[in-house]
Amino acid sequence: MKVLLVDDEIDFVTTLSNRLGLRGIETDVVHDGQEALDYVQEQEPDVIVLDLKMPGMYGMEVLRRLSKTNPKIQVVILTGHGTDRDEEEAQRLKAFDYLSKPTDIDKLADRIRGAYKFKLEQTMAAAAFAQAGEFDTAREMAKDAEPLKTAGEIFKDEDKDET
Amino acid sequence: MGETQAGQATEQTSMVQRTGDVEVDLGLRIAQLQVLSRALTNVAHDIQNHLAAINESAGWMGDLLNLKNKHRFGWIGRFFKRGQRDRLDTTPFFGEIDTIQKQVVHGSTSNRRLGDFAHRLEETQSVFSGNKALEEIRDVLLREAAEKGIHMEIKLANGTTMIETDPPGFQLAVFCGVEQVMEGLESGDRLVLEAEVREGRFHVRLTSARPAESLGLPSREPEGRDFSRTIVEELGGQIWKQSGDGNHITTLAFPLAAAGT
Repeated sequence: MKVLLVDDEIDFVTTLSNRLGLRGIETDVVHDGQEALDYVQEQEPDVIVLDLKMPGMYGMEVLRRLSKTNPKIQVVILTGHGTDRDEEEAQRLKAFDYLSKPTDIDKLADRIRGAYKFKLEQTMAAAAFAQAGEFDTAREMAKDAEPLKTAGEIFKDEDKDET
Repeated sequence: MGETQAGQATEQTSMVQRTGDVEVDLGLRIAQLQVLSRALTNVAHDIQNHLAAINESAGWMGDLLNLKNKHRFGWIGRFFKRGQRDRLDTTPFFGEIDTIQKQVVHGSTSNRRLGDFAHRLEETQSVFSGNKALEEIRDVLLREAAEKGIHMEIKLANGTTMIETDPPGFQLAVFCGVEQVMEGLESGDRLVLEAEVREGRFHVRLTSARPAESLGLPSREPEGRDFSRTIVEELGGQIWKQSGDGNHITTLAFPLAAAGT
């Protein structure tokens, strides 16, 4: 699993990367939106954990561009202070999940694993349709998923069970 | 033109002038609030990032301590034990880390509420949840109420509470309304903020055992109208006071958003 963390708070994101590493999730780190897009062009990650408020390019703009150019990459928004409108927009752009800082590290690790699993399932389902000769469906499956709705609901149910 | 007519004309001109002044005053105050709110939103965002960094650093310390404990009993533990007669009890460290993280959560929750309140002030005419906006106002006034010894309660409305109005105007009117009720209260008193959807309007009822000083922030002019009344009416709503059964109630009513918006 290839995970990219995008955040301009260097201390925060370095520690986050260390902690995720301890939980078996190796990550690469970049510090702004443009760097993230450059990284994606060179080596496509499976999951991106994306901050919204960053210098230069706003995280939502990164998500908007990724949803057009690399829709298979699953994006988990992790923001210091997003608004309801941001959350709605992220949902519309099919972000996998939307979390607020500070968040529990194990919860974040779960969401990243969930996003990766979802991506694998989408890819496998698309492959199955392609094998069956249903290329249009396969193409749609590969690019058009509704992760936030589906996965978000699953996790919400899990959270309820925990409490 | 007779003397009486001239007098009426002068009076009308003066009323128009006063109304114009109130509108300018109101616009100015809202503009001031919007500038302040932008600054506040940015500060709140920065604080949230600092809290997140503290939280991760504390968590990382916990992770490292856990790692050390785990290794103490595994094969790597042999290296840790070498030359170590008195083992360090890590329990108090975990206790302190837990305290740091709990405080971060408290600080972050308060900061997020402040940020939400400030952010709403930046918006212009829009559709938003009356319940949520009322909760934000309650949150930013909780500390002041606690300092005065006032017990503040909130009862939210059932069902959809989407209202369509100017958010800074809504916040200013309700905020000033609550402030004025609190002005008249004493330590140990109770103030209930209650929301209800009734007759196509979102009602905010402020109930206390003592009467409010006025209907929201009073006008600067002695004969002027209460500021909250001016705002609420500009937003297409109404504001009134009533008393009975030992309760004094200030009600602010705002138009609900059209269905489907």
